[in-house]
Amino acid sequence: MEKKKQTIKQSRSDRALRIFFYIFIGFFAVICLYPLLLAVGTSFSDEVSVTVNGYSVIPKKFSLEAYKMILGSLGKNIMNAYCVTIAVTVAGTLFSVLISAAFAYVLTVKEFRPRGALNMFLYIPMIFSAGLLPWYIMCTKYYQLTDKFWALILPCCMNAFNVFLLRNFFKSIPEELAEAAKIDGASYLKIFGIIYFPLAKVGLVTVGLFYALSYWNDYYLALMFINKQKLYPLQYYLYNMLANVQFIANQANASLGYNINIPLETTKMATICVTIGPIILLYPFAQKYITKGVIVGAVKG
Amino acid sequence: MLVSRQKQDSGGAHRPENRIAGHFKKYHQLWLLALPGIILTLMFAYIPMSGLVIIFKDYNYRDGIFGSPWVGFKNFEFFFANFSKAWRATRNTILLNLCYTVFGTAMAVMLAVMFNEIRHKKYLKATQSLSIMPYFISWVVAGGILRALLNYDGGAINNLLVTLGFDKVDFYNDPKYWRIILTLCNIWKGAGYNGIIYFSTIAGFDTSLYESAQVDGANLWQRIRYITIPLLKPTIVIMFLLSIGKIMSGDLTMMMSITNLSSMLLETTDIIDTYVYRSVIGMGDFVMGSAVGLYQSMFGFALVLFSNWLVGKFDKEYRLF
Amino acid sequence: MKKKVLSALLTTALMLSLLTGCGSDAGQEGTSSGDSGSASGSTEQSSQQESSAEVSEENTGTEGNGTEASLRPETLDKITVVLFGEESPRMQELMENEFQQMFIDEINTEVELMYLPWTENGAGGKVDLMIASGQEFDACIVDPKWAASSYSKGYLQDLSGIIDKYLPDWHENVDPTAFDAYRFDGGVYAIPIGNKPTGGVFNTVCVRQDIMDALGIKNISTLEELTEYVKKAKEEYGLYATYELASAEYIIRGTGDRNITPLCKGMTDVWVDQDTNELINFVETPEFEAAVKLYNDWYAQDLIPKDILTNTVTLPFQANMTSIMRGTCGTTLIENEPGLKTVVPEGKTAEYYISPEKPIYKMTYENTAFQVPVTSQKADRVALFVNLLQKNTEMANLFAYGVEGTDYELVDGKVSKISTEELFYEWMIYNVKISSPTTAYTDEFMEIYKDWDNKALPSVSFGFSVDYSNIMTEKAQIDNVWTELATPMLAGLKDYDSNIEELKAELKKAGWDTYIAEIQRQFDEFLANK
Repeated sequence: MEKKKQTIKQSRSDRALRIFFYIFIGFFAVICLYPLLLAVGTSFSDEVSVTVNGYSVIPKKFSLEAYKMILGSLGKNIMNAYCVTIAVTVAGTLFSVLISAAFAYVLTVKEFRPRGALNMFLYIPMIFSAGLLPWYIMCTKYYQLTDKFWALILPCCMNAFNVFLLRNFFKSIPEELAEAAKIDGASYLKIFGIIYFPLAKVGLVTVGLFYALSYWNDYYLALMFINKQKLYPLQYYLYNMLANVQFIANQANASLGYNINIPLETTKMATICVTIGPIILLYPFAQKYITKGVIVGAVKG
Repeated sequence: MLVSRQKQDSGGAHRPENRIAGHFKKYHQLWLLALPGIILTLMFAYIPMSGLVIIFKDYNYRDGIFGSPWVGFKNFEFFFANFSKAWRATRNTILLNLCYTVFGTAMAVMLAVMFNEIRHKKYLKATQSLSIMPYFISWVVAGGILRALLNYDGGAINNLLVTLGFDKVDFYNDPKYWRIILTLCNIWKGAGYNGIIYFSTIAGFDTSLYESAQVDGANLWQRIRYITIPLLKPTIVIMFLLSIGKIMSGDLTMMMSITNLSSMLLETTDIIDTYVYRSVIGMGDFVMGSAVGLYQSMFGFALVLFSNWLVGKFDKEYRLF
Repeated sequence: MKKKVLSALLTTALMLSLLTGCGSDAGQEGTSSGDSGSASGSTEQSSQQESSAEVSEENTGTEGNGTEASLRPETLDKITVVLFGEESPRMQELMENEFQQMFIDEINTEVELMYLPWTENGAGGKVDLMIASGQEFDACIVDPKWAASSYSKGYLQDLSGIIDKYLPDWHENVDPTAFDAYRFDGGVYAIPIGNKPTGGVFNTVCVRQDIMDALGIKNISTLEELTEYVKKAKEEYGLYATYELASAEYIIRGTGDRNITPLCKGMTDVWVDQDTNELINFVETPEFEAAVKLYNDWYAQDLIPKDILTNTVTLPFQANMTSIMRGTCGTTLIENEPGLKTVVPEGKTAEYYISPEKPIYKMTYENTAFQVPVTSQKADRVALFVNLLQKNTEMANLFAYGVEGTDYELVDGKVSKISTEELFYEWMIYNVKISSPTTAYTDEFMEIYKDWDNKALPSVSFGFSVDYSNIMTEKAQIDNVWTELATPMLAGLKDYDSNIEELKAELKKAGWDTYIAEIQRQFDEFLANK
């Protein structure tokens, strides 16, 4: 009788806590949503009304100028730009996850002595950066990356942060599994291939998501290495266009014939709307794989 | 495990060449797996890093990076010449980064734990997707939105204060509010994104632990407090160690977009990166900036080595290297 | 314990070996890169000089046949020109057809354009990286500040041997003093393009004429009149005065006893006395005091917005948010008024001088120029290219506006555009001597604009620019002090009396004496060469 009372009381407090969680998360989501709504609303506004009245969720004066600007800039290249971005994101993510996972696995093999040195080797570039000039000289002069597709992937496909993250996920896989496999005579490659790679699915998806986001958002490598229009990714087009609009707007009182109607603020907002779309779709997709109990099931089975 | 250790040791007892050969014979597959990562890191990080000598030089094209004349620490001089200002910038940088790390991590962990308790799939998907949206909003736009909130004339917060009968607050000319404002901005932008890391980590936990705890009568709060948080500790420690190396580096873009580097706010917002920016922008010389970058890196590296050692005192497994 | 120590040692040893190993490795490679870079740089430079010498010999040989024809090189070659922004579809089309044909016909040169984002315009951007890494291109637009920085790093080619020979038409249409901004140590490092009046740039106060009329204010020539206008505009129309910092160039122009101006364009701290050529610390002038006190006074009366330092609104004057802005030699009629009219249909603007009786100075050329990197071997062709863009009305119009009949029409001698796509930048090519004005240039405006320069005297420092390479430490510290202490004073947020001493002391501590001495040395040299 008493026990039952206790559980009821307990579940009541659980429920209260859970309701609090729901409310808190809802509140946080609203705080995150509001700026997005502002961005959408402003991107459909007339530039002058934005300058005078500031951002607003509901456009005071409706205008498609910003989107015309983006389409005008991309024009017939829009499909090409999307293709480049998608190709870079897909190829880059696969390649990066594979390389990072292999490296992270090596860092988790306990009996492998140089592991400590490799950790250090990986960590140092996170803090010490080479400086732009030497890096650029090496990439263009010696690695010949100018106008190559791989230039958009190679320089950032080994991200130390993500490798450490993966190492952490690998560590949560019970060692007994690897031990058992080793006793059965499995090689390291095989252990990596049949135990770590499939079991750390959650980790791989998470890190894959991070890699995908960084490839999707990257314009900098294109800025540095790509001169051919055929290889421009979407973000680089948008970056270039925004820089152009900003220049024209700032130049307005130093030069002739430009004025307030340059859609600067609204274009900024519109670029957010254009690039954020695919990500809204990507995350729930990745989320499907971040599910519970994968590892436990494997151990028991 | 035991057998392999013995084997290795007995191999080592003979000759060093044998030992190396033995090592490679045993571990060549591991080296093979690590090789692509090693090559890429060498190519894009270590080899260009030799160019860091540039900061001890007066660089010009004719002589190239390695032929330009040495100038010793001249490129650092401008930063340390005014010691009180350099110290202020260093202090602000560390303080702000500590705030970002501590509160940012706390928020990310909280979000992950809460997301983990959401039972409605659709609600979870919607809120989680929304929580990473700020990550995609550039600081420039975020700065504009913040102005709409904080402006003296017509800012949403001041409008609210007036309606409630309080005095207006001149946020943009008073440095004392800015540590809090900047920390809040940083949390808003990164908590959802970082929350993914902890959320995925929780997803990997052994569910049977929770089941047995429930059978033992542990309530939700106790399960979070005594199972989830302790299990998350290694991940939190790793994230902390990874971020501590960057404790001396700030985000220039964020500061420029949010405070416009306003002179009135420098007391609390002048970080090393903005200090350098304000100094070298008039000349367009970025070697001086890289010089201070080295100072930031060295300090961060020393701190990481220390914290790593400290963490190792408690539990070796938590160490970064 | 022992094992721990051992493993730690091993780790550090390995790390060190790794570090030193790859360090020395990279060092060698890098050194060779540096060497080869410099070697190729110098050989290229010398070969370039040779080639230009060769060409010039050819020239002298054939000079009798008429200079025009002889300048066209005999062989077809290609130059790559870097521009910023986006290449419009129409520009792409023209560069494949009409423009390219013209380049080949006139100068036997194929021109390839390479577009970079505007963020790369300036020191430390991709163009600098391209030069440093030896990537080949032949020309890029540049401004004096950037050129000075590139010159000190050795990125630019000395063009003094080329400008006399390869710019025959240019010399007719562009004022050769424009070179002054790009002269360093006796060499010329860029070829300017375009020709616009610049006298009194930023020396006028631009105001809302419609508000002045409504308020019954006839004229503004003193600070009292200006303050009265600003006050009434706030009372009656709710407009703040301005979001710009107090710039003594226009706000308190000529209110002191001496005729002083900033030493160079964009320079805030060092000023020059136009009559005695003496360099002055601006902070110590009565003008600085007057400017700070005026703004502080305005701020106290709520005429200056509280967010003056943080608001990034691009064009508040055009958006009907402020009542004054600094003027640019009469161009407000085409720069500000059309924008303003989209917000306030009856809006009108005008520019006034404070103390109009005092002399007006022409400070600098606004002109953009083309730099030629040391890696290029085709400086002569770049010169011919620039020359062609400024050859005559026909060429200037073609490259700025496109093909007559397709891209624009001439109406009463003015260009009425059919297509609005950007070709070669109008603002770059526009030359008062040869270009046809667009229809945006009203007759009223053209009348003012044409003789604007005639009223202005050239400044003693006209064309002078500072090379900071010897005083970088001081310059960095002074800029730092300036943005922290002087900026809030010039914004009106801090008062003069309680802050001026600190500002002066901090500037001195930052190395002002060394700084001004070096600039004085350079300026004396400049005056001696003049």
